[in-house]
Amino acid sequence: MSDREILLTALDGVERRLRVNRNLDVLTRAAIAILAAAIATVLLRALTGSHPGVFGLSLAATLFVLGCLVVAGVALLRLQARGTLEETAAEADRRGALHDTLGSALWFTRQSDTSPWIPLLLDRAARLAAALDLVRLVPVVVPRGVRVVLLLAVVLAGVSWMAPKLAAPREAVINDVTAERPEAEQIAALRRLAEAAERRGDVTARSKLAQVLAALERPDASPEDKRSALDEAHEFAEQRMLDAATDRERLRQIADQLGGRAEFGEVAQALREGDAKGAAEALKKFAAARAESADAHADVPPEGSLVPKEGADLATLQESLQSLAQNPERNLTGETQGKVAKAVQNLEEIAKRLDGAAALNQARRKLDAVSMSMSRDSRLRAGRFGQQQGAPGGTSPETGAADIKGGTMYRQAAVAKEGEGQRDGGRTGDASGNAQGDPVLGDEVKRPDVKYQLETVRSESREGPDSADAVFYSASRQGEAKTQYQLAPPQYRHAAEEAMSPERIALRHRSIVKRYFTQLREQDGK
Amino acid sequence: MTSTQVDRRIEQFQNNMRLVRTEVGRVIVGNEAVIDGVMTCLLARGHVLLEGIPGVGKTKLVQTLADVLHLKFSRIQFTPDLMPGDIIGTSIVREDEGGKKYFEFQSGPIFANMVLADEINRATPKTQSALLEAMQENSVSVGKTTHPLQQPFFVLATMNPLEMEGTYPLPEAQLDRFFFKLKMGFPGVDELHEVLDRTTQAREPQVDRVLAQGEILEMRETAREVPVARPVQDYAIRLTLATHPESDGAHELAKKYVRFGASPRGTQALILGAKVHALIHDRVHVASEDVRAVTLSALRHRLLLNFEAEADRVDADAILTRIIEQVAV
Repeated sequence: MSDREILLTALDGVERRLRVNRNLDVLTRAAIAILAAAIATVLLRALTGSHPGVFGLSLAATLFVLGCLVVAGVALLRLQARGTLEETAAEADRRGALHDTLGSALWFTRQSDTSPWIPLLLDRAARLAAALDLVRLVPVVVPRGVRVVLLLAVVLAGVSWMAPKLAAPREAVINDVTAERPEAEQIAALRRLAEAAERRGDVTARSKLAQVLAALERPDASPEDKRSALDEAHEFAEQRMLDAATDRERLRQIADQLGGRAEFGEVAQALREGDAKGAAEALKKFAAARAESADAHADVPPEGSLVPKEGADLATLQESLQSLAQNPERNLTGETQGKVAKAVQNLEEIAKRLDGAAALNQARRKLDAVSMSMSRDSRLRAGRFGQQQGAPGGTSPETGAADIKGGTMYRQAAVAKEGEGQRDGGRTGDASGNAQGDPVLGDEVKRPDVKYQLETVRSESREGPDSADAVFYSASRQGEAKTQYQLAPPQYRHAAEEAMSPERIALRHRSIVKRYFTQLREQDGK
Repeated sequence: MTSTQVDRRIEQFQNNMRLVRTEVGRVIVGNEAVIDGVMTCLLARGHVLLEGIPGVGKTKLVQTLADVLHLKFSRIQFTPDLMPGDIIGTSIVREDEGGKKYFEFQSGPIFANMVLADEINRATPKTQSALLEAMQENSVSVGKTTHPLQQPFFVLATMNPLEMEGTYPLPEAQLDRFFFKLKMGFPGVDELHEVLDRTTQAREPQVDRVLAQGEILEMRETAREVPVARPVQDYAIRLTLATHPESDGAHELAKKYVRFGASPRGTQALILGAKVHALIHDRVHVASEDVRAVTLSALRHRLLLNFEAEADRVDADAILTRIIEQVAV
């Protein structure tokens, strides 16, 4: 084997081992890239959720797959790359501290130099190449990146374990939102309430709920139609709630009119609590205790057959109970028994009405949930959303807009009119602007004795709460002076002395303070 | 010539070098790198500029080297009033037996194999130019006659970096004529002890003449024949170009601090010096390591630094060191 062949064989061996190390490094880097991408994907999915991407994969998964493909492509290209013999010789020279012997020899093997130095050089290079211990010269080295790979693998495992926990709060939020959507469960609940209203004989409530259900379930109904039906049902429920509140108030008034009589104590207590059914039971007990015969109950219609009558029931009840209270008979007569029966009947009717109102209140909550989800679906702005969903008199947390009769009042406008009913003290009023200021201590501040003129500053903005023109009084430059010229300097001097006074008590409060301490002294004297 | 002969010449070269080192080392303490540098210049047919503070042994080194090499040695102490004729010689009028008058050239001290130009920066530029021209041309022209200088002709100029007042620093073009610029540093404590031991006794150490003129010329021939592979030559070129601020391969420091980079003569010095260095280290080819070893000596005086370098106190050695570190083989 010639010197040249020995040299080339050795370099080929070096190149193979270098390629192994290079490929290990490439694979390690690819693994690092893929693991990093996987971690990012898991985190992305956990934090943002899956969004539609390509071929049914989520966006994060799609990006991950694309990244892997790129990394694999680059890695394949690098794996196929082979180092040149010159590079191999240079690397062998560097690793073996061979002083460029192999590199120089390789170069001269490709030249047609006839110098007698060249064979000597090749001979030396061949001997060096033959003596090379390739395993020691180019050991197969585990890349440093393997530690990073292991670390990333651990991180990936940890992130994968943590991902569901990270996603849980977000999913909870999503579930909350979806729970408010008009799903079958809520519609079914509304239907049950409608059926209950029908069983109670509350035809009006049943028809309203049926209208809403029909609007919600109609496939071709527009969001506006649904919202309109919901608003109408909502108003109906509100009216029922108001009626129920009125009934309870009347019951409390009736309880007060019973005058604290001991025999009606239980009845009055139930009436004060708005418990019409309890009051009816108490009244029945009262009647039973005093009944002379069982015939007194014959006029009382059977329970459940009564159809609620609105309006006159309370008046009748009030009349019956007042009559009972004014005629405290030990044993009830037939007429009195009739009044009791009438009162019991009225109370039961009222109880049913109150129960119906309570059921409608539940329905109203369901309607609110449906309306809220519909509002979100229709991507209403937060301000508008707050106006629609806010309770009467409530304030939308986003905009400060409140839902009141006649429109929306902005928070900026909800300040007191400072010049109206307010003297001194500076406290702003309530939202209507009619609150009185704090009482003023001392003498009331009087307007200076100068002539005023009314001035108006036009507002630049034409909309919103700041659009009002500012009107104020200013000193008039015309007209008769209220202060004579001769009096102006003394008055000015007095005002200046007051201003320069080191005392911290305001001028108008000094008389109060003086009086306070004077009284203390008098008390001490006593 | 066969490979065996080449091998033998290499062996002879190294033996001669070893002898020179040993003999010089009997007088000169330490400074092995400077001795090698001076020998490299001698064998590469170059001239050397020695820089060092007074008393570190510049003149002694040259004198010892001349004694060891069995070469004709002359010393010229450069002073401001030194004239070119004092160096190269002059023609004087003579009268023959018949009474006829004729001019006879009386050669100056430059007609020697080894010339020590002591404190070259103290002479006027005119006198400096006379010497430098002789260094370049290897001949001296007086009147219409050109007088070749005997080979080997080797000039060692010394320069004192202190007491620069009243001196004439060599212009860059003339500095470029020097193959190497070597710096002699101050000896360490141990070396100073050795210097005192050798020079304060009754008898100073003596050296033998170990190398004849012919052997030196043969060594010069041998050094020139060392092959250089193109990658190594390419490395030397890249090193040179890295010193040029306007070149594509310019180093950052060169861009910042260098006004003009090393000349092609600098690249020649790199390769020739590397060849001698390779032979000294028993190599039959030039390695990049050899190029690196001579880079500072070969290029430091060929870099013309700008004002910013002076302001930042950056010298050529610092720039070249960074270039050597960062230019890939």
